[in-house]
Amino acid sequence: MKTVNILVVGVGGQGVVAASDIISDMALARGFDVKKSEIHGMSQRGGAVSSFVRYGEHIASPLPYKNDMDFIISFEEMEALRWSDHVNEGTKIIVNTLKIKPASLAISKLEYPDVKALLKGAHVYYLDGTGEAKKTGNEKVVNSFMIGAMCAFNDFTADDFNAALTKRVKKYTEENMAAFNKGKEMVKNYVLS
Amino acid sequence: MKQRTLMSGDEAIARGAYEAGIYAGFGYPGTPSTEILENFAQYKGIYAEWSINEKVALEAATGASLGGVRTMVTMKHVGLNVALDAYMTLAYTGINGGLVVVCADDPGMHSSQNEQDNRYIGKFSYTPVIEPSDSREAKDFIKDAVEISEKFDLPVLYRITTRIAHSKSVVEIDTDFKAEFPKKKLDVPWEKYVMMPLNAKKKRVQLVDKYQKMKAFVETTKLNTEELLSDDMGFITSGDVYQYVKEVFPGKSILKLGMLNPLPIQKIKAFASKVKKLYVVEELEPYIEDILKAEGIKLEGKSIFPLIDELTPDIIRDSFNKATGVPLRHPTSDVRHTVVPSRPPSLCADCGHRGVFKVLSELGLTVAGDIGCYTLGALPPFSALHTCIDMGAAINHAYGIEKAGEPSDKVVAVIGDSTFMHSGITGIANMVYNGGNTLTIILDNRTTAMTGRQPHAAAGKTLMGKETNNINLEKLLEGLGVTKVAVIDPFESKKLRELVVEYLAQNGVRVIIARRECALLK
Repeated sequence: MKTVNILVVGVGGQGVVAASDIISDMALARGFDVKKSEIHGMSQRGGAVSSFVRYGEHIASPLPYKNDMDFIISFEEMEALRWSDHVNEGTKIIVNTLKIKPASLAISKLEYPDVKALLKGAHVYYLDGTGEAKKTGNEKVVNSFMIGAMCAFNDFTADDFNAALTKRVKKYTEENMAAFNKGKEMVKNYVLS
Repeated sequence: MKQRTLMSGDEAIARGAYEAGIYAGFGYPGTPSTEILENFAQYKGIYAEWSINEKVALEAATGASLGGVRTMVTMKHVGLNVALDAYMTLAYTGINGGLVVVCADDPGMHSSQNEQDNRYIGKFSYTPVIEPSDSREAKDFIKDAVEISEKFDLPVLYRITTRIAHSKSVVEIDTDFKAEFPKKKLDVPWEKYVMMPLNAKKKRVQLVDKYQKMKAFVETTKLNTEELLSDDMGFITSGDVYQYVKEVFPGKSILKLGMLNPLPIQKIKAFASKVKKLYVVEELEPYIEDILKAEGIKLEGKSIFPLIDELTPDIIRDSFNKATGVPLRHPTSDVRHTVVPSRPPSLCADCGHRGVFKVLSELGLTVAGDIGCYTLGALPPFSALHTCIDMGAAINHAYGIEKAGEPSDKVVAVIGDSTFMHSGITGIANMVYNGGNTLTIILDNRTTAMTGRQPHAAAGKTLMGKETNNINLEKLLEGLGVTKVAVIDPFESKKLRELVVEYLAQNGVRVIIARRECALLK
């Protein structure tokens, strides 16, 4: 099989690294070789965070070629744009439409970009993951929603997700599962606007 | 039971240390090395601690080794500068129980102040350097490192990089494994460990002799592996870069070096003779390249691959194609449509440091700074920090500025509590001794925040979670002979400002402790 390359991005504190850990564990449980790579350190202080996950028969480099990305999963709207040089014709881009304004706007005099106008096409999915997560009563399950959205395209099941999730998170399993299924469903029913 | 699991390089090193019978681990937090000791501390039957600084850690580890147990020391690359005094002469004396110094370089300076290449420290000190290329090797090679340390009676430098430390890959572990921790007798023959010239001169001769034996050993060690797949080109590489080379040049011959000092010159010459064209791909300095060129081996390295920043598959592929005229297989497209506003890390919204930097910014002072979250005080909106070079430097920078004739009421030093315990105390002592008039502000958030909130000597807990003696900063400063010490909550803006203004106008060594628990601890 072809190696699958996933880039999960967002803002420090959103759970980007936790999400990439769960995706990695799902792939590992399926018997794949898996590597993931990210930079820790200053992420807790509101910086941009990114994590690469690769799985397949044999993975050498933990870092994929930039434009070999199969998925970009962005937990924040503008962050998807930051990584758009990693996009190829086939890259599925799943964007949580949450906007977190960076403090730098005040100094740089830049506007928060109009992401939807700049990043569009049949391969881009804008979803209100945070809104859907709030409906379950726990905003933090947006993680599971985003993973679910990705799983609309590959064959990881709700059971695969449940196993990987409960290995790491003991609480809010019901809410997380609901969010996962909702994410998957919303991508399957996605209508390009 | 055998279990496949995903581990970061740091986690794998901790596991490897446990399996190799390493009983004691000492270190100081520093990205990307911090998680090694944090994970090691979870194993049963071991001892682990955050030492005051890297020098103390290595010296304590030396003592533990003399006491007969296998030991590990962990630190980031610049930490080894702090410990180097201890390391260089430890190479002369040698060890009793195996001693491994795990040191994490940070190519690309993701969270560091420089990009130094510590492979040179091995050559500089005549000690073995070992480098793993993924988490499985990070675990397995620790055992080799301990064995090599005991075989040659030397400390071993275990070099990793950020991409090894923080990347995860598959490791197989035996969940039923029970570690054994061998303990030799305390053994301190004075002629081995008292490095007065009389003994040191002999040990120097022995060290060079050991190096000759290491040169023979390295030709046959399984840490270096040859993959002979084609004869048109061959690559010599190591560490994370090996994985990138596998990705970029599938089907090409590779000599992967797991032991970086000394280099297996005969093995490399044999490899070179089997390929038409030889390349060395290494991150940072031309360490391997220069040694091989001096041996008369024809190769290309830094003429193609960059010296600066970490390497990636993209960079290796594009540099190679550019240099050799090979058409780009996957031209890197840049479809970024617009300038995306940056999202630099910033002090947390409810961080106590903000209160201090607000005041310093308003007063327009020259601020000598240090290493920690508060280095971010250099950025807007505060722009109130003007130096950050190395751990513990702030106090001495401010003091030196005063000695250059600058008015001491326009300069202040800021230093975090953990950094102060690491190497700030000596700066205060120096000022008391030599008569400094510089104001120091200790930004006391009760933790080592930047690296992930590790406890320290003035924060009441050990790495293993035990409540412990809490060094009282106020009493410590008074004991050193500091003229005036004040403690204040940095969120009391008006009071803090008045206090800073009042203290700036005075003479003698004054210290303000701006104390507020790190927002992330709540």
